[in-house]
Amino acid sequence: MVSRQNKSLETPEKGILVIGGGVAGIQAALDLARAGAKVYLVERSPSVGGRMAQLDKTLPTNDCSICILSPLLVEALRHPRIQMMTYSEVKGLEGEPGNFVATILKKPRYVDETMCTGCGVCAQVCPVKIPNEFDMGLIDRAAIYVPFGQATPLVYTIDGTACLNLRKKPYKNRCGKCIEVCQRGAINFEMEAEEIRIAVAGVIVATGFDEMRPTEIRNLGYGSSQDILTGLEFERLLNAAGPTGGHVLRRSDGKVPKSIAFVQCVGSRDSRYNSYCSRVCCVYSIKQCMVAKDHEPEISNFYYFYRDMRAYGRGFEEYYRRGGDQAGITYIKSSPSSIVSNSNGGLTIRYEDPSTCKPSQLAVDMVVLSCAMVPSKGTRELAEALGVEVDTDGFFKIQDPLIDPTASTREGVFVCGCASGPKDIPDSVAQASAAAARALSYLGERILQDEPPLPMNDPDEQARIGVFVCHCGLNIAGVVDSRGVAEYAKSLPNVVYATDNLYTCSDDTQRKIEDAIRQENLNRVVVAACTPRTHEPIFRQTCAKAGLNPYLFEMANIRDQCSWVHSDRPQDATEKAKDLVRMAVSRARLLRPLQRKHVPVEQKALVVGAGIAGIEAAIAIAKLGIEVFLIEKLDRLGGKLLNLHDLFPFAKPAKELLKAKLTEIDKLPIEVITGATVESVDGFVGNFKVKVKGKDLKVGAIVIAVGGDVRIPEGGFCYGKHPNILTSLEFEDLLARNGLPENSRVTFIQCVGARESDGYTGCSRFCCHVSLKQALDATKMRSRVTIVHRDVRSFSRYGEDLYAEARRAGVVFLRTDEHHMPRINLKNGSIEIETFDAGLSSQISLVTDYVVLAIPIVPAASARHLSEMLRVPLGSDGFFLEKHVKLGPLETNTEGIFICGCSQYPKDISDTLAQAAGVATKVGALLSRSYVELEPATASVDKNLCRACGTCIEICEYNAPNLVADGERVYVSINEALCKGCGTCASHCPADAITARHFTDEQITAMIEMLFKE
Amino acid sequence: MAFEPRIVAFACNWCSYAGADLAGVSRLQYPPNIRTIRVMCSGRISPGLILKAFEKGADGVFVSGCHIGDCHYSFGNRRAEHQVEKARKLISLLGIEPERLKLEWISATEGEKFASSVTEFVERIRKLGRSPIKSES
Repeated sequence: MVSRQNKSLETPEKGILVIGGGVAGIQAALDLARAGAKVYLVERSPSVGGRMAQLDKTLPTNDCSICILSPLLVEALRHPRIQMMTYSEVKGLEGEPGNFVATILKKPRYVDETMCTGCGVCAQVCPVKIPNEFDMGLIDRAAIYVPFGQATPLVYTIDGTACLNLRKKPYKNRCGKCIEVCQRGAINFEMEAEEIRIAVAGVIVATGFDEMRPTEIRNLGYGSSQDILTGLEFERLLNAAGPTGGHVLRRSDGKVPKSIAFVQCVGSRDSRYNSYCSRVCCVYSIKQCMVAKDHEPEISNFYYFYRDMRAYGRGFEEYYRRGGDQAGITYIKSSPSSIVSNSNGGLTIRYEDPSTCKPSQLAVDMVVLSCAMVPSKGTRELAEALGVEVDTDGFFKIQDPLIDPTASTREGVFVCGCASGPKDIPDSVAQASAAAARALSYLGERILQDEPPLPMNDPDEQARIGVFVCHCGLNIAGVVDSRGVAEYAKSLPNVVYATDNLYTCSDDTQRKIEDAIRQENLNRVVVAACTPRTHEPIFRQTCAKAGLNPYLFEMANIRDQCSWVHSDRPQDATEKAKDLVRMAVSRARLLRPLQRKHVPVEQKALVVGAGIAGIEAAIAIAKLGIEVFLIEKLDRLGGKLLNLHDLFPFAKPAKELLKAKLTEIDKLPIEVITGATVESVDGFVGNFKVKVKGKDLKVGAIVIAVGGDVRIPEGGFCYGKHPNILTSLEFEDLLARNGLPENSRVTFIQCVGARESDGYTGCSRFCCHVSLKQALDATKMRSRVTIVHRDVRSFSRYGEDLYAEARRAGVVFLRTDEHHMPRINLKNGSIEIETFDAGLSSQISLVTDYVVLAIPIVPAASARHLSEMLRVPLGSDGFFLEKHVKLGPLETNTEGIFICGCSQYPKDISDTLAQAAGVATKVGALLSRSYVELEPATASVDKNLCRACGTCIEICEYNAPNLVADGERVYVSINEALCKGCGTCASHCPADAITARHFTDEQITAMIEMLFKE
Repeated sequence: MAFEPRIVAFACNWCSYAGADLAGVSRLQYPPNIRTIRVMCSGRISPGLILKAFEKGADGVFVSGCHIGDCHYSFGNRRAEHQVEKARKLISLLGIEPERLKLEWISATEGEKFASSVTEFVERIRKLGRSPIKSES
């Protein structure tokens, strides 16, 4: 593979350095590159992908993790603005923000990246077997390896500490088996580490986390039995490409366990190890139960030990219930005291039974420990190299999470994802976009080169097809008679040139293809080689270079889907390869040249709502040089922030935060319009016309930041019947203005109107933290405080510290459940609360002076109308629906419209700030150019055939088809700016009026016909 | 000569085609009886295309897409489900056994599932024998 990584380093352009190639780093790199920045993406291991690549499924959709991640990895590898440096480490950072110089150590792979084709023959002959880190050591790999099947780049690496040749330097040819089999001569034991210095304007740290090895927690038995696994180890067992092929098998005897216990907070929320909450374990364990049940229906019991169920994300509460109802999980609120092997070959768990408060025990066949997320190895060294601080837990320190949740202690260095503390994928991705926006503002010039138009060929000219059949060394030719296939191709109609090549993707063959296009006057090219998913972009580029429209190119997959899967049947494989080439040729004849289209964009943005989300979004967008209209329905800016006083976790005054932000607004090109709402919306991406106060605003992008409404408990909990029964907002005010008389008794009731099984199901994420903060404030005023809760969900960074502090300060915590919510009785002006206490397992009553009702955020009253005008759907919970629950938290299904803050789902200020800044990168990428480029392979309608039945309009998720009236005639027209090219409308059109370009009925039919015509 | 089924497969670009590639990367072996046509989304497959494959001589048609909930285009695979069911009714009317048409959800990590479901399908068609409809052309 010569072409893909051969980007010169000699005169490196100043860019942004992204450290770490997990999902956060990849997201940051792509956001930056799409906005025109040059990106240097440095990854320590041989492949990008990070922890997310190790996961089997993501929740709450149980979506395949690598399926959604892998396209991003490939895009990052191919992106002309991203220089991907894998197997490299950052060693130093000098200079000033905007003008840093980074030192990067490129470790020796001992395999030439430009020569390796990723065929893997070397790994098959390597005699070394060592545990594969990617599979958490549950299976072995060779010394020459790729971490996993979809490794990006797909280039082998020799592990210098394991290789027989390299283990003892100097290198002596003690083994050399890989050299013998590598047809490309890619292996080079003389390779040495290389130091590179590059100019960067800003740095983004996205180095993720490690899973704590729980060996030191001796009572939980990890290491004493093979059937006690960590969460990530279990995740690999669930994965179809993992050590057991997706089967849940005990390592001790290879049998499917009948019962599995999951244990939460192993090494988390435990002052002996890590005092913080790891944020993701509660729900990922539920997912693991569901997926395990799906893979092995005979597992009959899932026991789930937990301390507080922290199912705080969107849809998580339902997921938690589903785990109990559908997967039959038995939830046990208790922490096991010990786990030991028993005489039946199983494991015995000792714990306190929460219903009786007595010691109890349970025998299971397997145990999964949800271990703490800890700073990734090397965090301290990297922090030192970058000149930034780490916090008390060893994560990268954030200077002030309430000003910028991505800013480290050094200006110009930003942190996102788990590098600054545990978080889930959507929060990491949103932070990554935020970090990208910050870093981008330090980069003066961004280069957004206009892509030249594609060369166009006469579509009706008789097809002259050239066929190139790859040997891929012996990968194809060892099974398929590549030469014979090329000879056969010559006999096919319209084929004027056919040849076979050792490596079709190598630079010399690419030149041969270019020459053949010119000399043989080819107007169609077919390559029979590996998979179009990875290689079509390379060959398309080659075609375009030689003046051939890239859409006149077709591939036949005769490696991944032929020689590799039929290696024991060479003759049949050769016949199949011929069929595939014949089908490809038949399609190639009917391919049509396509041109990229441009739609001009209005380089201005509209932000709807001026709470902290809208304010921050407007600031971050304006800092990228884009004019912003910021509209607010009230007459002053600030939203809910106006009602708050001190903000957790560091008691920052809300006024101070708001003032700082408003000062910034004044200095930036932001037009603030108060007392204004969206009256109507017209248009599409890049070209919206929004009526505000009767005036049309023309904008290219819209950001929804309308937040949510607080839910007032109408009549419930005697609210309104006693002056001392207050909502948390009212109590906030009381604390700040008047304080509390000494020795007041204050009782908080959590989840008032939230987490209801019928009604409002969501968790508002911040209420537990707010109550803890207010409880602490009250204790400082010498009050006696009780918190009645269902689970204490202080999952945020430093949230657990608040919880610990509250306990130390003497706050009493009483746990109840949904069916035993407290009842309030008013007697002669005094307040009596009757509640259930799970600790005592009985009903108790207490007298209090104040009741604080922790109320949730619910969707804004205006959300539905706005959703209809913008054609952005709401979720079943009533909040605006993001494009993708994991990877697209800031986009919507409507191109050009973005969301942030509580309009998407309730969240705290720090998470809101991250989303708001993240939106800026998306808007910035869209509006940095004067046009948007459209994918040409979209649907088109023949208006003469269209009967305007509306089927396509109903089907399309993207609102691309629209009815148009042309005099008497009514027909559908596809808005190419919205069409994603899936072709579903084409297959449903009853009049056959819709053509899915590049995947036409004619082309697919030709392939079928040619297959059966010999 | 013994009967060798000829099968047309349709696979969506994002999940199933990637799963088929992974079967290759993992060197899983399956019978060489299928010829795969890649489309962007399983929703692209119409009953007409499925019928065309049978009409031209396919002994079986294998349609695969992302798992429900995983569709790259949100709900294209749900549409595919309806289209395949429609096609199944149509082929039954033509006297083709409905089992000759198979719809399978295969993710990008399920190389093994791709290999095993193709193997199973080829065996099924082998037992059913030649398609009752063979093209005249």
